[in-house]
Amino acid sequence: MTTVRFTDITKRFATTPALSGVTAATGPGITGLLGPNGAGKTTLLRILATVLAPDHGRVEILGLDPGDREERTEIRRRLGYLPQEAGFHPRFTAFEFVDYVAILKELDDRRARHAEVHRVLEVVGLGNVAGKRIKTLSGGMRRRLGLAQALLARPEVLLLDEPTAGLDPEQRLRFRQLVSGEHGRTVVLSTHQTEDVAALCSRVVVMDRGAVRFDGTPAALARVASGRVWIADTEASLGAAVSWRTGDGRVRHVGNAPAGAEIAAPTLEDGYLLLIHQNRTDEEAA
Amino acid sequence: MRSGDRAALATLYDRHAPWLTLRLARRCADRGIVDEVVQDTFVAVWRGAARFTGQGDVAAWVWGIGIRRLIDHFRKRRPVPVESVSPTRAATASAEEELLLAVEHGDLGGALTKLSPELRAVVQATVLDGLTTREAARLLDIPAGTVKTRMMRARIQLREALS
Amino acid sequence: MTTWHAEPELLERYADGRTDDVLAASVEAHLLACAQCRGRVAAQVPASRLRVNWDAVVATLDAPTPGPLERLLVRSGLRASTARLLAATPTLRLSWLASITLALAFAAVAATRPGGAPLLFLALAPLVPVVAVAIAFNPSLDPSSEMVEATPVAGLRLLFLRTLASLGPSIVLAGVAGRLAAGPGESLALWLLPALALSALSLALASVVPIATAASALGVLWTSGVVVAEAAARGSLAAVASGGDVESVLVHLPAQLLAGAVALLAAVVATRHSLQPGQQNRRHA
Repeated sequence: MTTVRFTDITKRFATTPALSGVTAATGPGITGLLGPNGAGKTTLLRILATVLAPDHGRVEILGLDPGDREERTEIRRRLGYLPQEAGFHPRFTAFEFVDYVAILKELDDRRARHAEVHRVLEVVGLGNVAGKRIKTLSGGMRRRLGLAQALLARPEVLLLDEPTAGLDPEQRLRFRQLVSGEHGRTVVLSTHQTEDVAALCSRVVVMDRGAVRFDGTPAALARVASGRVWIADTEASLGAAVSWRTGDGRVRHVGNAPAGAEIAAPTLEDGYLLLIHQNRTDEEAA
Repeated sequence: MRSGDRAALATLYDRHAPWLTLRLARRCADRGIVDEVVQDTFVAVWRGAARFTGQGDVAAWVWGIGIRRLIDHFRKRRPVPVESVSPTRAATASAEEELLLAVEHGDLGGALTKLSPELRAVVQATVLDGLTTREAARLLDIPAGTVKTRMMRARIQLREALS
Repeated sequence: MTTWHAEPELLERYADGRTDDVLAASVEAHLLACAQCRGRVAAQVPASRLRVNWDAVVATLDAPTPGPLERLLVRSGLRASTARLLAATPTLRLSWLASITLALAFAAVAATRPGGAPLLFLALAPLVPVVAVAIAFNPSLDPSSEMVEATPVAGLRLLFLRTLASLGPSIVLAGVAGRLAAGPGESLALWLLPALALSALSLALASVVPIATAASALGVLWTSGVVVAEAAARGSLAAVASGGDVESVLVHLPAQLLAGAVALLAAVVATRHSLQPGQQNRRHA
């Protein structure tokens, strides 16, 4: 079942292209948007969240067209969105803020709304600071507050832009449990952390410079670097796309084999790094 | 109970919410309303915590708030008819039940059983639930004047039964 | 009080409503006095029900208590959730109200002083609602705009509510200041129509340029227009600077009619055009 589909999306800001012909489709489960900063992940998520209109291309969320006003409203009823830069009125309390968004999500009955606000705050672990003003909350807490409002009214499609940024390892684990907990929901999250994708996603879309470079399972992304990962004792390697010294003092190379190196099993991160590197060299060659 | 002391409220809730729920349920058939009244009661307990001086019984204080919230609810909405509770009396009260009646109400228990259901409801609302005539009228959805006359008749019958 | 305790079976019957009134009354009287039986009867209420009600209690305690303004809005017949939205609008914040009050009071005082300039008031008062509208419409002034815009209420209804929330108090304040500045008769006619015209115009222009730009451009145009009109009426700019009566071009019927027409036209354009999806700041409205 396809719940989110976008075809040949183009978006330009002033003169810089943010997205140049992006196409993909996804359904229930967790899809990771992986890519370096400036790859166009945020622009794509904003378009999917109906906040931004694409210049060209078709978007379909839950079978509805965000270009049509009524269908857009219907999408928004069934959508949760955590933007990258989630700002807050600092004078609001945590509860007040989520309550405010809940009203905008048409939860009009006061009692039911308050219960729902309480629920999402508990889910993200902010139940005990519900009455505190947002300006007194830490960065990680604010991030979770943004997540709380996205979870209101149990949306069918959840769009999360860098949800794990600013979370400590424990909070990150909690986030993973929370997102992977509910089945049947479509989650699209952007990240530049390959561990998030490896831990959470059944599907990964790699973006770079406004275009999709890979679309498949995390295992398939790792296989991109199959036979291209090497462990050696020396750093010098002309053929390697990327290399770095690991914790045990040895050097991991992704790319062509350096002298005296042993081959190693590729990880998702290896595949991703190789892909981005190849993309950059291809573009420079062109 | 100081403000900010949620744990104290939680303890109070654990102790008193269950019986309050059951007791309200006997006076209102609508489960949703009962739940809302229970919620409102503990919100009021929290906000009015300063007013509880510690004198008197906590349970009685909670009940006083709860039953009045229920009446407020009836005032706001169309009155929900009070369930005419369990018209079927067990054929004979067990010895233990008789004893319980006697312990709590003395001979009054026996006398009460002899009252008609309408009179008994009025006695229950005013004497046992501690409501004013007007509150009882609201709870039972009958005019205040009727509460008064029924109370008068009940008093006469009880006096006769107890003499 | 008593050495008697209710049997579990009796408590169960009581909970199920299977005891008659008198017996129930006895159980209730006993429960009121006996903590032990209160504890035992707790098993008769499903834990999930108690939990849900407790969560609701906590939610209510955490929920914001409506302020005086919000209560007033509810009492005047507004839906509670709409009142909450309005009350949470940044343009209803005290700092904003305080600053426009100050500006208008300054203009009004300047106008009433002997030899003072009603011009200042005339130039300023119609712009206050424009600024209010610009603030209400400018998404970048709302730190949560990204989240707000992805909600179903976002768009026309929210913009309308916000505009109302900022226009309302600013017009009331300008009205009060107007009475002080120009006397009861003329004050409304002097600034209300131009104010509405300018507000609607800035909304209409918002489809082409950011609303802040539209509002400032209109502000400059309006102010210079007032000065030129006054100068034309009085013959010289020097006379304007020295102040004078309020019998400017603006009071005359044709000018008022023109302002009214512009207001109407701009309002139509604004609702039909500038708020269409993808137009306003290239966002979905």
